[in-house]
Amino acid sequence: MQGHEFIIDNVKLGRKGQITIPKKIRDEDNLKKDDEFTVTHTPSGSIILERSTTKKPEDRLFEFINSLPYFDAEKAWKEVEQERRKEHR
Amino acid sequence: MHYCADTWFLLILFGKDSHAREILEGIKTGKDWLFIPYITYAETMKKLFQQGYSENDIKSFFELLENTKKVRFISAEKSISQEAAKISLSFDIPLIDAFIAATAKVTNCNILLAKDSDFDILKKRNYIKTQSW
Repeated sequence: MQGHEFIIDNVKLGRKGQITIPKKIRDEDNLKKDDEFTVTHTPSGSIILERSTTKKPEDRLFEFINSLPYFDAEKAWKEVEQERRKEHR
Repeated sequence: MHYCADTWFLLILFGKDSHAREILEGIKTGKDWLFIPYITYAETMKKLFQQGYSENDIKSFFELLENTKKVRFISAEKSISQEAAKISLSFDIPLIDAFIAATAKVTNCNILLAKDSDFDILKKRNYIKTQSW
């Protein structure tokens, strides 16, 4: 969701299993020593590295949702369900 | 518990549903995880745009979810796409439903938070467990 350019680069695995995140990415995302990451290994062999967050956005999420006007979610869901059926026909 | 969210869950969460909120509280405080297929992200975003919500509100909602610990958005990578094709064909369900069910399966989710009746057949054949209210 962040508006930076798409970056793809090759990196090598070090002797102790370390990899270096390219400087351009470190600079752009302000990555620092001791930042924590979650490593996901997918069944097809992809390895995804995601930055862990120490903030509590759940609390901000609830506050944000509470600030929104009334939304008829069940009605919206019925419309989505109908659209799915229509696309399947 | 590992949950996978269908669009229904995201919509009711946006609509301040108390049970959806409880599930998210469980994720925040316990060992639960929530996986969100990107296809449900797109579908929810489209519906919220249609309902007149601003791009800022919609983006804020997803950014806050995205930044929540133990919530992961899942791309339709190869193994998920292959599984989705098989499910869609075997159970004659829309491809979008198949992608959601395949994401739940491939990521080893225990529960698919979904209300779509197309998942009934998958439930009957013990492919996946669903939960709705």
